[in-house]
Amino acid sequence: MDAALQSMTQWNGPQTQLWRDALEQVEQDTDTIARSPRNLFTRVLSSDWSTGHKWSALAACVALVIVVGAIMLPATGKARRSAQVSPKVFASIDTPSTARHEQSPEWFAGLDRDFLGSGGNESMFLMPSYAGLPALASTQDHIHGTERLVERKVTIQLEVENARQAYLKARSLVSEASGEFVQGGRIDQQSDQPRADLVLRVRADRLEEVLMALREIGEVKNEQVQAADVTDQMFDIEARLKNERQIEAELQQLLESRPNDKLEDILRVRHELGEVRQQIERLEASRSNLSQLVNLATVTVLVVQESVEEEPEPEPEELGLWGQFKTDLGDGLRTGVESLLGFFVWLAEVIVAGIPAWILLTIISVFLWRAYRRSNPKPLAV
Amino acid sequence: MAASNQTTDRELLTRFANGEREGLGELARRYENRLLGLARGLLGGSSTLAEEAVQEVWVKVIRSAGSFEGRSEVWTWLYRITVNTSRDLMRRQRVRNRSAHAPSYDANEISEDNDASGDMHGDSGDAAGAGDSLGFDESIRAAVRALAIDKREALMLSVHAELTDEQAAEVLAIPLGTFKSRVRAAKTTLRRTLAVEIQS
Repeated sequence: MDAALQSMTQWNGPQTQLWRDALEQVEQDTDTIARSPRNLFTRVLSSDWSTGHKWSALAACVALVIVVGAIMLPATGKARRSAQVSPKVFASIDTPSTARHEQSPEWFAGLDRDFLGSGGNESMFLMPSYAGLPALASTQDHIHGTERLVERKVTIQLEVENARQAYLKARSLVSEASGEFVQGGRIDQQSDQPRADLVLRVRADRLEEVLMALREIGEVKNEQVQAADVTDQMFDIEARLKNERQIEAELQQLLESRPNDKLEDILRVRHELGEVRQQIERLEASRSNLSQLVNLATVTVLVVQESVEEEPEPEPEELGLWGQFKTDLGDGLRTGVESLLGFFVWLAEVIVAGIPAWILLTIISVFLWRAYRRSNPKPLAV
Repeated sequence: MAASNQTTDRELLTRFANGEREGLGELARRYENRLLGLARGLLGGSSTLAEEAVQEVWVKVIRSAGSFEGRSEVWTWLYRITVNTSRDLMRRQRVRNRSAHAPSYDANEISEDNDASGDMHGDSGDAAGAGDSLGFDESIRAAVRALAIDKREALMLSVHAELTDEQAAEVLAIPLGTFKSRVRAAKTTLRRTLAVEIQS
């Protein structure tokens, strides 16, 4: 085996002059490189270039990287900063008062559905508000000698220091002894801006007095009044009631006057009489309800607690060109440093959090590297 | 090695670097056959590839003769260039064969070099004996080619008649102990491979 191996490393072939071929090849290559447009690049890579030139090229590359980095880093930082600031800007535009106004319709509508029930009228919130309120003491107005029946609804919005206290004060204005009552109420202290609302039913002749008391609880932000004339409705009910009663009397009389008629006829008359009586009861209930509406005015009180006004940010002073430059320079520098710190923090996080992965990767890399080196050994230093 | 000649290798190289072609010619006369032998061994017994490799070695010598700093002997330098060039050539050949879907570059080269191998063993007796010897040589070549590159290099340098173990270790820039252990491992692997082949 040794002899066979030795014979592999012995040259018994023809005498060669490979060095001459090599010389010719180098001469040809030199000519080609000299004419090639890649000459400069080849010279840079080859050892023909002096070490000084190589260092100059390297220094130029480093300088280029620094210049590009110096330009890019603050720009990147600024972009990031503006991206961070933008949401704040939009948030500040959405002031508490605006937000409140935007929420108010829903709040009011919900209240309307909850407490006003069938008696509520959404259109009342669409009516233009006015500061002065006409005298509402008399519910039964006299117009041209005719007694008018009027239903009153008032909505008053108050801004107070303490929503809960205001709520309790408003409740206490109702005099239950005289038939008045609180139709509904709720208080919300969970949100950023506590609020309360309640619906009071007060005697029409006391409406002005109650409103005056409410105005003293807090600052009136909005006050709306709606008056609905129900005289015609009442006349209509009265007329229909009168008519039904007359029919009832006639049917009653018919039953009493003809006791010997056929049973079928008698039963039919009784059935008719029952329906008429039901109708009379319904009309009486409507009349009672209507008269209650006229006698008791509906007062909806909306209480909103004052929000703590934030100190407005001082307007930036007008800066000159130099001042602006200094500010921008400072900002840029600060942003650059912040970005750099952020990068290092991120790097540290990646390094620390990924320790198990790094260990695994290192082991795999070492194995792969050794396998690679085994098949592709490092060139020997010459 | 060649330091005992009238003109030292370094002087010849300096003369060539100064523009005297004959300096390189003299160096080639001293080393070309040895380098061809080593390259042939490293390249799995292929004479064609060995010639290609050695021509490339001379090209490198020509290009870097001026920058030779003399930190090592000229012969060490030449051997190292030969080892590096053989590695590159093997890699290139492997890529070339892969892209051509050829089974192995060595298989092609073996048939090409059978005659040369026959010449080397021309004194091995009758035709049947020559045939057996040729078969054994091919088996050895195949087993050498199957060795890991570091073991193959160590083995080839150790059997190269011109070098001692110390010199071979110096060429590979590894400690003598490492060199010997690689040679030992290479021979063990070789024997095992050949034994399996003979049994089969």
